[in-house]
Amino acid sequence: MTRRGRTLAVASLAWTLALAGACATPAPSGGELRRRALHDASDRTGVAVAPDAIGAAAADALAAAPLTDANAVRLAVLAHPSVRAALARLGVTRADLVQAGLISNPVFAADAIDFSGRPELEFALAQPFLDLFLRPLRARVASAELAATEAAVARDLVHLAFEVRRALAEVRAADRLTSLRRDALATATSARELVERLHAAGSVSAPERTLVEDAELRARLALLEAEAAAEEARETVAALFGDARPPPGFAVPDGPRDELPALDLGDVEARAWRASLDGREAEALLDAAVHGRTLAGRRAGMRTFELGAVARREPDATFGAGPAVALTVPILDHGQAASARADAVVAVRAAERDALRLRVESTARRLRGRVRATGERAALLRDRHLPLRARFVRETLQRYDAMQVGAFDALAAKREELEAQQAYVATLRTAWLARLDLEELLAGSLVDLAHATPIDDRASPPQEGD
Amino acid sequence: MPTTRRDFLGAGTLAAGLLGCGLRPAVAAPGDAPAPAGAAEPPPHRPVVTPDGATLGHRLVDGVKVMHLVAEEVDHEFAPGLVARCWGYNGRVHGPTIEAVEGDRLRVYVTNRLPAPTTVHWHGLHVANGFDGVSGLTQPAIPPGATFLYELTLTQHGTFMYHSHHDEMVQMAMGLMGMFVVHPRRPASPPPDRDYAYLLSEWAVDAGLRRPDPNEMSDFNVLTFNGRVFPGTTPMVARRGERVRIRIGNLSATDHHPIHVHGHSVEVVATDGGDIPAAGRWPETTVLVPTGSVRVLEFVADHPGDWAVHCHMTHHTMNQMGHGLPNLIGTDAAAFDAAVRRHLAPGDGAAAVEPLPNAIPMLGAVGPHGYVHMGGMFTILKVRDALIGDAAPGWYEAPPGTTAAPATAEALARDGIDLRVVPAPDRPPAPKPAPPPPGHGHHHGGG
Ligand SMILES: [Cu+2]
Repeated sequence: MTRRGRTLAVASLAWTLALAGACATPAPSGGELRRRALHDASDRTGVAVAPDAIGAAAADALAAAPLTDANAVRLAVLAHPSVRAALARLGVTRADLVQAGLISNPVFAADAIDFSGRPELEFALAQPFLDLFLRPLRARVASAELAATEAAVARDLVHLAFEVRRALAEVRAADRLTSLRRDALATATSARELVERLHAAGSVSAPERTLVEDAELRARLALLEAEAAAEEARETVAALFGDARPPPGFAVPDGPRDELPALDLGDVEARAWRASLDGREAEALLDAAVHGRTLAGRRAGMRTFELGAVARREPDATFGAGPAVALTVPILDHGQAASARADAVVAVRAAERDALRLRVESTARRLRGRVRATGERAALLRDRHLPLRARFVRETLQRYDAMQVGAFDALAAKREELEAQQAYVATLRTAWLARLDLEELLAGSLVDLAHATPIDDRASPPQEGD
Repeated sequence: MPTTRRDFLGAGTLAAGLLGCGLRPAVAAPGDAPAPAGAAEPPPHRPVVTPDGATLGHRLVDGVKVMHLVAEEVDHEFAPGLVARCWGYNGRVHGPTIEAVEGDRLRVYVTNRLPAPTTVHWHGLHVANGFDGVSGLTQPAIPPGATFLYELTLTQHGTFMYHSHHDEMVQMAMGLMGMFVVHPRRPASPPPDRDYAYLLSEWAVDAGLRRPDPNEMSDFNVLTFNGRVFPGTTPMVARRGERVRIRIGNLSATDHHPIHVHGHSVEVVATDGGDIPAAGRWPETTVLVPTGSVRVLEFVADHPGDWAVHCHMTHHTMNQMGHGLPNLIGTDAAAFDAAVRRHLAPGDGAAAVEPLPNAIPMLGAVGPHGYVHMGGMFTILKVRDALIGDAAPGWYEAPPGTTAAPATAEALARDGIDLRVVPAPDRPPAPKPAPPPPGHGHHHGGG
């Protein structure tokens, strides 16, 4: 290389280093992002999980502890692969942000053309400069996208926590229903045994016996149904713990939860929107689109703008060097389509944000209604209906003792009490689920009501003639 | 341990109060019969006794017996443990027995303190049509708060009744009735030594309720002698050899009652239509008293003992019968009961619930030899060689060897009773299993 060539190379390197140094935008570290996401989710769910605890060892240790709500949420965060996936998504977006802060590398080109044994050599070094001008805007876009991802990840963590709590509520309700149906079967079995004795003694007709036998069978079917539901509810819980599955038939402590703790139902629409992580995600995406629109305007059809140097050695061995420039001439495409697209994206995201707000607010109102209605009904059932049914059983027993009603009427009173308790458990379950749905919404995660708790009580007892 | 109706039946336990009440003397409450004002003439008859009832007092005004019936609500006790708010007269259910003498003139004032109009009909008495008491037909109903006057001249003697004849089904179901005895002015024979009056009636008072149900048409569950059920009925008494008269009127809603007297044969000597001539009487042990009728029986109490007197319709000697209960004959009732209580009673059936209020055992009370399995229309005639006053004596003490008791081995051996053998004449030969009919099978055609 000639002296001039060396000079050129050194100059290029210095230039590049200068550019690189000027453009170092600091992105948060991956660990910091994970910590922030977990911290945000903890604030919203009340269950703290240390980011460095995530992994099999901690999960195994926790799996041995009693399965309280908090432990279960922690266990799911530690062990469920979706958490690792969510946190890894932060890495993807963070890399995008870092990428947005980098300047494109210089391009070196060389060619050698042989003119009958006398070569012509040409060397060129070009540095793309468009990036340099657009880089702050690109970083803003990437930053906003990272904020959107952070919101989405926190939302997914919150959602997981409430999935866990809902699943536990389902197990509690299913266990209670199973236990009631077991009692109902015991009552039906006694009735069947009694009717068999009477039939053997010649005091009850065959069809009467048949009906009582069939009633026992129906009680058995109802129990089987409840047991299957309880097993499935347990599987839903277990699946949330990844590989740290509890053993089959695991116990769920701190039942039966008849009392629903007080929940502030004031101004839930505004509170839900203020807290909404979906909202934060939508705002961040809108932000990104706005910066993207500015970016598109700045480009104005420019694709290329490079500065560099070129050196050539002619076949006759003469050597020359000089500056080089390459740029797009925006006379055919001066960026109007890209700008229009960017405008449209802003409009789309703004409209999506608005639609989301309406959904969040409407969901808040609906859930508030459900919480009120189911809470009121559960309280009425618990405080009035069940005591009345219990009183009726006691009064029926008095009349049974006074030989005013027979054994089967007496057992029917008990069966009706157990049915009332089942109806109560069904309503209590709905009340808990509605409440957890609203809590989740107020913690920032939009509940999809299409897939959430139906307002009708499930698991109400089978009725005669169904 | 709970004292339930079920326990009464099963174990025969009994509260002491129930036992005592069966022994009250059969005397009228003195307050109900004030001395007739200005009447000093001793009655030419023996006063009638209404067990558990009373006799209406009167005053003489210018030779007319003036009486006052007040129809009103009454809390009436059928037997200890069973009280219902009924309708009666002068604070009683049923109303006090009206007692007079053939030829008497009566002015009976009837005050209505009920919440409904009412009248009084003098059942069997020949009165002026306008005093017959049929509301709407012979008189306007007596409105609440009003007092009507009935003037009766007694041209008959015998046993009669009085009762409301307004909205009869309701008012008689509520208890508005009483007996009306007219003694003969010149008795053809000496009066009996004992003269008892009974009014039979029937009620619907479901266990645990406190009102008779006047809408009931057939299913009456409280069947009364003078408004009482056993063990609340007061016994009759008689000295051995005394002539006893029992006047029985029946104002039940639908039922006729065959009244059976143990230990004696009786004759019906009169009805509410008049005396039956001696030639028209025949001996009986059970006298059917149709509803709306009176039968007067007489007999000589010549057999000492505690003799049952009761309606012979078995469910008329039950109190507050339940219905639709499983038939437990042939099953282990205790195990059956335990299985039911296990599900219903607290503590897996171990704990007691308080017994049903205002309900009495379906059957009776403890007697001298265990539980007396009778209720309802059941009372006791106590015949003794000696009595102190008219008070009911205690339980009859049978002379040795005159009470059914477990057979001794000596007696069995003496009489050749082999307990392993059922005597052949009582046991028809076992039927031979029928042989299958020849050619039995599913042959079709060829016949
Ligand atoms: Cu009878």
